[in-house]
Amino acid sequence: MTGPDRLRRLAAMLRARRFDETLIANAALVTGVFHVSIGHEGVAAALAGARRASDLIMLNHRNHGALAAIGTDLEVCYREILGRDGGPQRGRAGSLHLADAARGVPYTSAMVAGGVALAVGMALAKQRLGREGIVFACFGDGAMGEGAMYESLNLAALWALPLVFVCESNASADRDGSRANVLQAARTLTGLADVHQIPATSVDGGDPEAMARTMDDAVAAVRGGGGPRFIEARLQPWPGNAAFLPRLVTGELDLSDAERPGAAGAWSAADPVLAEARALLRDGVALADLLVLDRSVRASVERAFASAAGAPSAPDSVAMSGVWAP
Amino acid sequence: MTLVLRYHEARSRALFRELDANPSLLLLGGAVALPFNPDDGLLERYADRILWPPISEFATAAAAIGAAMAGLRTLVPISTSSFMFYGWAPIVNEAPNVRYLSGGTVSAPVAFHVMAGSRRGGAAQHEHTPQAMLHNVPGLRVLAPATPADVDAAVHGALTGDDPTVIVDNVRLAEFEGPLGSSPADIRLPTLLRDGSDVLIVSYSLMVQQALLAAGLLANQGIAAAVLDVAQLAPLPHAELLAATERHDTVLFVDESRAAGSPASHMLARVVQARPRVTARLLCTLDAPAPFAPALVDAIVPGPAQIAAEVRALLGR
Repeated sequence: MTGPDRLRRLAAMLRARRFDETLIANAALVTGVFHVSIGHEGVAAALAGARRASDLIMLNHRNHGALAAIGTDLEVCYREILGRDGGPQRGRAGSLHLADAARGVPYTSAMVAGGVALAVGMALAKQRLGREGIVFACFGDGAMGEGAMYESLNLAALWALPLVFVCESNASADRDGSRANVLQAARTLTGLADVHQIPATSVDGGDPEAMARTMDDAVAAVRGGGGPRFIEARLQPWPGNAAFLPRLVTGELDLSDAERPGAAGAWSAADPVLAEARALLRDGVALADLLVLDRSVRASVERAFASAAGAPSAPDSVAMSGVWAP
Repeated sequence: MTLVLRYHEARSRALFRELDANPSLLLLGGAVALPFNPDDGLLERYADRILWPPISEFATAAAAIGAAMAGLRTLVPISTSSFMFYGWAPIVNEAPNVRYLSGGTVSAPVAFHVMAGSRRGGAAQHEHTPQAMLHNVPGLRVLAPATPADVDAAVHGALTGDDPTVIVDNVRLAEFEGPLGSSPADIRLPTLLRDGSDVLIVSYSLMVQQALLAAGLLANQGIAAAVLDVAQLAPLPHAELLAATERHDTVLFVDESRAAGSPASHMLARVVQARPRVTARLLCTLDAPAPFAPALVDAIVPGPAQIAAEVRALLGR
């Protein structure tokens, strides 16, 4: 990958990270719960790099990072999360159901494994109608506990659908690939894809370059008509995730930490954004240039939030519109 | 010239017509008529239009919804309605949200067909009436045809409309005959199938046919009963329902569902709220799981005799 491409990748990851950090800092303005993508930015950037305009993407309740990476209007996202008027959703969706039909995300199910089964049908439509593009189904390792997941793997394999299963495994994945835990009896998640005859790869999702290569390989195979592929992206769980609202326990990202190995804790060592910054420094990019990029991303994210926070709610009539076809 | 067909003939005719009109329409399974109603030749005639999924109701229902969002319209013949419970989550918690959450920019026009109600011999797990649950889900269109004309319109509406739609069918409707008008018809508003000045019986699906039989029994006893067929349960056509009931001061609402949350109880509430002086009653299946023995089924599911008896009690005659 060339320098400019890697800088674009870092920019996508920073957009995702700064979006969530700014939201957490202003969590008091949010009604209800929301989920952040901190630690998932490598997967989001790989998705953004591999997708084409004709593709469809099913995300899940943890959708901010992917949307930020693919270029969704962040002010519209903030407006929706704050329950304000703005994009087409107009306060009916919130964080859980953020979508961007113009970028291939027509709908977001927040039910665990719910979007995966919908993605099967989207891929069936692509196949039957001979349409351009493939489908991405993004889900957490928690979805592997749902029966819907196994029905989806089975149908996708039986019908050789153009579908990439992207498992963002952030709960308990450990680094050697074994999963001796209380949630999953199978030794590996890739083994579960394998028994359905779906080629599967496990990758360190905290290594953005490896993640992107794995994604690109899988996507090339699916675009080539090879049927579905399964990716397990092993992610270090970010310690700020909590049952109700996330807390910024690791502090705000400081890109300068990329030049100070060992200065920060275990999380910084696994942080995919810092990993990408370190890789760029190794390639000879100056830290000052990364900081300029970061400041620019941050400023645009903060502007988006400030504008969204000043926006009004939609009129009451919106609550009753769009239920049935007119 | 008016065409008179049996219900199952009208259903097959409508389905074949829609398959011919839309070459990309796909069936996920083939159990619309079979195994309970006469073989209509669907499986042979449209073999290449049927994709047979494994027994996998969740993923099949969800796939149909996802396909609809991506431009491929499908009909999912679920057969026995309780099989739908395995696919319940996508049907009630994904499909009806698509239009709403996208602000009308995305829709999920998908059709599900179920055989609901007491088909005899199905027992506790195979004779559910899920319409009482489905009509409580905003965003789903729920159609419950009673006549050949109804099913013609229901199939057309479900396969050409823009909403996720469930056709709540009943295997015991198959042999009832009726006229079809110009076709394909639009989804029908409440239709008066029989007029009579003493009482109005309001129902849908099989209970409309039972009400017509009851009206015949009542006529022998000098009671003139009208019968109103409400073929669309959700969204309920409130204004048309009120207009169609306004000539009668005595109205019996009949439903094969259990009473709690039933479509008929909703209709009754709407009518009584608008006209507090109307004398109204609700006749539903009693609150027990479906029994197996035919005599026990007759003890809890309304038939013509029970409907006629309820009318006489309501009129005090």
